[in-house]
Amino acid sequence: MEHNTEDLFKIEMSNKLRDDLRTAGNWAKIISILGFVSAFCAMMVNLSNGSFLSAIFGAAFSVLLYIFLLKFGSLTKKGIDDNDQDTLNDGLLNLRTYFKIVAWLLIIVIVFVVIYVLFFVLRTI
Amino acid sequence: LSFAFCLFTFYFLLFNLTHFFLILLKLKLLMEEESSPLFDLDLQIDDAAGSYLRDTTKWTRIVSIIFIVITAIMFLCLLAMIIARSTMVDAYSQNNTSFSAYANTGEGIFLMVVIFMVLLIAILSAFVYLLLRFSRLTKKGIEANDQAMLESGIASLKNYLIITGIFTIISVLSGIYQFIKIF
Repeated sequence: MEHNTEDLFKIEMSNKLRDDLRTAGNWAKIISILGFVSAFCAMMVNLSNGSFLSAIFGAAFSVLLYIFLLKFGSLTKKGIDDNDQDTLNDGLLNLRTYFKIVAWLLIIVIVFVVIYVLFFVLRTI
Repeated sequence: LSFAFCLFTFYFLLFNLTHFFLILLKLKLLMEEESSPLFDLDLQIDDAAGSYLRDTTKWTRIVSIIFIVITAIMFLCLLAMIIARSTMVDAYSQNNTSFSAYANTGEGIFLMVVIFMVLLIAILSAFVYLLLRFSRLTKKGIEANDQAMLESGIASLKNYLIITGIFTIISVLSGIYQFIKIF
């Protein structure tokens, strides 16, 4: 069955939606900028402890994660302020990518934890 | 004849004036019509934005499920800690190198750890609730073309980002504190 997509997605950008998206964008920008600062601090602490690998990996993942959140915040806000549909859509695309990366990072962490626990249990047995 | 000519001129002028006003009215209507596309060009959740938001809800649902698993594991740990309370208190009393200021106060350390875990579980539950609410309402709102539902979903996303922002501020402050402590 084929849907008429033009009729399907025609939700108005009401004032509430506008305000909420703008606030979400502002907070996303704050989170990402603070995230960069936090990643820099963590990198310096790790470097001073001598763990270069965790410093590099931590900084790389943080930059990868927060750059999409920063793009979501700035593009969505710009799109709403300039009434530009394409910019708004780009912002929402970046939000999708951000959550995609968060999900994959969490899955990888869970897999590593499970492997670690299995290894620990097998060694004790 | 001159009367007829005057009458003709009068009617001609009247006709022309009426015509002129009609043209003005038409122009005004045309201008209004021209300005109406501005409303059509106004922002909306269109095809692309809708599909991006729907994909986002898919990923947020996965993230919230992982958060639920983590919260459940933490809750089980908390239960195990409460069940094995006396053993934990003894362990904290004997091995209190990291809490040297609270020497021989295993009970206090145990209480502190329990309160910390309860707080962590509460924060994670709030994240899970808001993310699941965003996923459910946004998806339903886009599929059913429901304005109010989509608004509630986006409001949940906003609240999620606000809570994340507050905790990021706290983590950055602690990060800067560690940074200053080292240098």
